[in-house]
Amino acid sequence: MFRIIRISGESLSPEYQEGDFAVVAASPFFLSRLKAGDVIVGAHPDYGTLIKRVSQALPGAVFVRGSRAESVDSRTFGPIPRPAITGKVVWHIRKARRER
Amino acid sequence: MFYKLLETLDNKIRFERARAHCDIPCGIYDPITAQIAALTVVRMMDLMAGLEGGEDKGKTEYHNSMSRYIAVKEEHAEKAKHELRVIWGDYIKPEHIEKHPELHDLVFKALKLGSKVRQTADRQAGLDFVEAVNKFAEVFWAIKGVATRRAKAPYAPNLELVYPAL
Repeated sequence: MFRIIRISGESLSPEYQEGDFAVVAASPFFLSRLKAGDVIVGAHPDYGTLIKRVSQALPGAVFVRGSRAESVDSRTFGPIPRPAITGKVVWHIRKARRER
Repeated sequence: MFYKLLETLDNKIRFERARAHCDIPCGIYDPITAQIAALTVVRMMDLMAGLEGGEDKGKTEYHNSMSRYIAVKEEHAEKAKHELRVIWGDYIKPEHIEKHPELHDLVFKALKLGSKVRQTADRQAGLDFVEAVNKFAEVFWAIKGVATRRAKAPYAPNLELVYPAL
């Protein structure tokens, strides 16, 4: 029902950064209530396991966006079908940010 | 603390990776290419100065070697500038500038020095160029959350370079 994933890539930075961890819930309770702004994990045939933010939740699929102009997201690969969504982030454990 | 615990566990059991894809190409950015190119500029300046005091001055061999040193100096100064521009333009984001407001000025000065070392054989300008690129490297690695150390390059001209302390 819950699993831990580690984030690679900077598409959701600065909020989610390379090396951060997240606890992901896969139960229907969470997945049936997805809304814009939620962060989800999904499986994509070309891009593998993705973590993205929901920009629009439709009955059969969700559109996702990264936080950056150059993010690879639904603008590139279209919506993610609901069956391909493997979890919703319920807890984000951040790596200590280095300040100067 | 919880992060540290997870990191320790991750080293043992390796959690699943979820990729926050960005910019389809490789995403490999490293200022070391610019640093080595800047170092090469100083090396060429040293070789040029050495040749100037040699016995072959005025001979064909002299002109051949000098031309080659100058060409390599030109090439590597431009290479360093190119690498800086790529990291600055493609990798650096507004949130990085918020944390490191000196970055634009630092790049601007480094690019100007990159031009100066092409226009002249001024060794001090070469040293300043290497140092400017080093400072850029320090900020770059700070953005990546990677500590750095300074060490002398193990080849002539043995100047200090900034390396990630991995």
